[in-house]
Amino acid sequence: MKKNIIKLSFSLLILFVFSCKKDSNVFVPNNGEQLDSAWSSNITSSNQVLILSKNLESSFTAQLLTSAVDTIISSSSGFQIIFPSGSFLLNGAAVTQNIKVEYKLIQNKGDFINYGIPTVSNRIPLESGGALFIRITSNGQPVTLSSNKKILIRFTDTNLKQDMQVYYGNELTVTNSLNYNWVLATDGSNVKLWEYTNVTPALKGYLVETLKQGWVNVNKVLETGQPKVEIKTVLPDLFSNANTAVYVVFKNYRSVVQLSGNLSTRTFSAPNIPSNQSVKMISISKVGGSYYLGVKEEITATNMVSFIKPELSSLASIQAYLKTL
Amino acid sequence: MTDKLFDDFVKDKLKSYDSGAPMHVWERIREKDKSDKKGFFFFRRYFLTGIALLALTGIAYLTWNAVSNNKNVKDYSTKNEKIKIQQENKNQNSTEINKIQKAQNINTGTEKEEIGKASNIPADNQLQTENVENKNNISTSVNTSTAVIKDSDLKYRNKFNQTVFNKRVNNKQSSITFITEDKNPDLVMPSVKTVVKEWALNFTDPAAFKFSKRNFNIGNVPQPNNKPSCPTISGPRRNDLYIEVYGSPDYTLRSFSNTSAFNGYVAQRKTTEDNRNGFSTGVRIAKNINEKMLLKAGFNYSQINERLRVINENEKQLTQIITIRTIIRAPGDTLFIRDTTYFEQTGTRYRTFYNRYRFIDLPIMFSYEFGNPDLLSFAINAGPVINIASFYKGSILDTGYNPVQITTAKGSAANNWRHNIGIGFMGSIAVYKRMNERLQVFAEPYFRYNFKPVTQNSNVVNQRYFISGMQLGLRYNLHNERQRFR
Repeated sequence: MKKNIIKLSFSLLILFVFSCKKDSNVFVPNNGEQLDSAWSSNITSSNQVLILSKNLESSFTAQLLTSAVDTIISSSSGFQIIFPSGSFLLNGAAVTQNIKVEYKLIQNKGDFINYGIPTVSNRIPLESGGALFIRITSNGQPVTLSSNKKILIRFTDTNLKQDMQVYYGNELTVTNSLNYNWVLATDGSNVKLWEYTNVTPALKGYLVETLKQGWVNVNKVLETGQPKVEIKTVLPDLFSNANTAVYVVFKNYRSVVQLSGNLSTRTFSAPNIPSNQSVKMISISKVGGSYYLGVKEEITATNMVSFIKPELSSLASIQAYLKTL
Repeated sequence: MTDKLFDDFVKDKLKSYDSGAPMHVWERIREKDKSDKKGFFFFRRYFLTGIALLALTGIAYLTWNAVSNNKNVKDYSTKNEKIKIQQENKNQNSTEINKIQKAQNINTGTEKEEIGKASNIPADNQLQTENVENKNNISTSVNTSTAVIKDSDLKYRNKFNQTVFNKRVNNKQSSITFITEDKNPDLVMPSVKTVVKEWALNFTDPAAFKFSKRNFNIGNVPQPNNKPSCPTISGPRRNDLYIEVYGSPDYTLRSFSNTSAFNGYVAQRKTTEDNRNGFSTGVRIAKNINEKMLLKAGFNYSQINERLRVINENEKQLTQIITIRTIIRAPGDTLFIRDTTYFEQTGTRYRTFYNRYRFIDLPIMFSYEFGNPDLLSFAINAGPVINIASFYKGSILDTGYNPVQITTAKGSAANNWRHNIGIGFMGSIAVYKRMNERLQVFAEPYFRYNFKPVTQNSNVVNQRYFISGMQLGLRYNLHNERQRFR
């Protein structure tokens, strides 16, 4: 018994002596700063790439109007929106109160990235004459257009393209560009060219008649006469489809295509890209609380795989760069 | 031609000349020599080792001296053994003595009473038994000694001096030779005197001799008037040499002394650092100086544990991510990618440092023991503790509240600590419980205080420790079957 007590005492003593703890150094990222470099098959609003898209989104211009008379909203750049009188309904009844109109005309390629509306229809690149967003509300409630009433939109463009058509965006509000798709309008909306030569230089542009609110785009399928190829891009392992969006911006066309992430190959790719085109591969990422911007100029070609190395940046810097496109 | 001769002359003279090392090389060597000496600590280590050797040598000397002085003790022990052998004949002798008593009963009634008292000696009383045995030795003693002892103490020692008798017992034959009565003590007690004399001759210590002449009583426990060096019935004076091994959980109290300018710093230190307790372990040798005093010396290893927790909010962290990939674009067209990317995060960093302050000390303790070693004995210990070396591992906050590693380099920063914390004081109270003839377990609550701080003198704050704990250990007696203090 005594021997057992002695053995137990010394065992405890030895255990006590050698039970030393190790130093620890633990870094706990702030909320939203966690490293998320895993590829995902299902991008949700909690993923950094969608948060990034929201952060890049710019605001819309808002204006109050009376619905009783024909109203024209115009700007010095030649942008005009014409609302015919009595064209608005609120819960099926004519709106007699003032209405609020929010609108935005996008013609800069960078803005297509900012607002997350790449010019693609069913994975086919489009060439845009300009995209317009219109949203009409009355006391915060959405207002619809009366049947057979059209909103007329006129805006200028220095490089007019023939055979333009009206496309509607699939979302009323700006969302992530990953699934964004333009759909050809079949409701009688149309687009016409106009030119005003009494001033120097002469003004010319498009006149769009639309029956819908939301995103309206003047597009046509991008045709360069070159064969279509699939292009791919690779980024460092830090970046994945969950935190990065990659775009192809054509140098000679108002066309912006977003590459989709491939989980198995960990690459971004886009099909139906005309070959032999001068493009900029642009990646924007949000990893944790950090923003990254990657830019690489390429000539599209068959089996093209472009490696982009994003650099640490900021939201403001990314927005400023996109303005220059 | 002349020039060539001169050139050859110079070349010949300087052929084996060594240009030597540049001066800055010697300067560096000198600097290195200075740093290698490690200053005062280098000298102190030898000094302390010398003290340790002196202490241990002193204990060894005391031990050796005690062994030499007790040479006669061995003789005495031999005689005791002899007596014990003869004790086997005691029963027979007792029978003969009873016969004597019967004979005396016939002669005088007084003698009958006195002898009757003597015959009622309890069997377990060893002291009284020795008296009987001494009687049994009488015949042998008479033959070997011619000295005459005149000591009035004999009258005190022997209650039979009122009814003096002279006995001769032949041990070899275990039979009574003759018994006579005489009124003269000098004549009637030669055999008893001779036995006492033999005892006395075996004691080199006068105190032992004096004690031997006293009347031994059952359970004789030394009283304050007894000489510490007096032997008890089971042997001569104490001569113990122990080795003690122990371990102790320690509780440490830390104190700061600083100027008011660093109150905030000290408050921050107290907030971020907490005590994790420590432990001590050691081995020491204990040698008795006399019956109750011991000198102890050995080596003690102690460790103070502390924890520093630092929380830094809004700290940036860069993570390096290395990418190595191979992309086959087409047969024969492969893209190799090697890239390093840095990822920056903002967050809160929690750092925990488990500091360990280690000290190797030489405690020299003076111990006063009392109590009954068969049941429980106690000791009060006190003495200096000499630090041999101190080692530190861990981090503390600097005055900028950033964690910095503790070093023993010279300097005034908060993390410049001492190689050696000098002399301290240690006191304890010990309780010993005997496990067997050689082994004891003990529990010893103790405290220790070092007069010097662990920090260097030039530091912005001075940091000291008061250590208390409970040493639990084993004590092994290297001198077994020696007399123990009772």
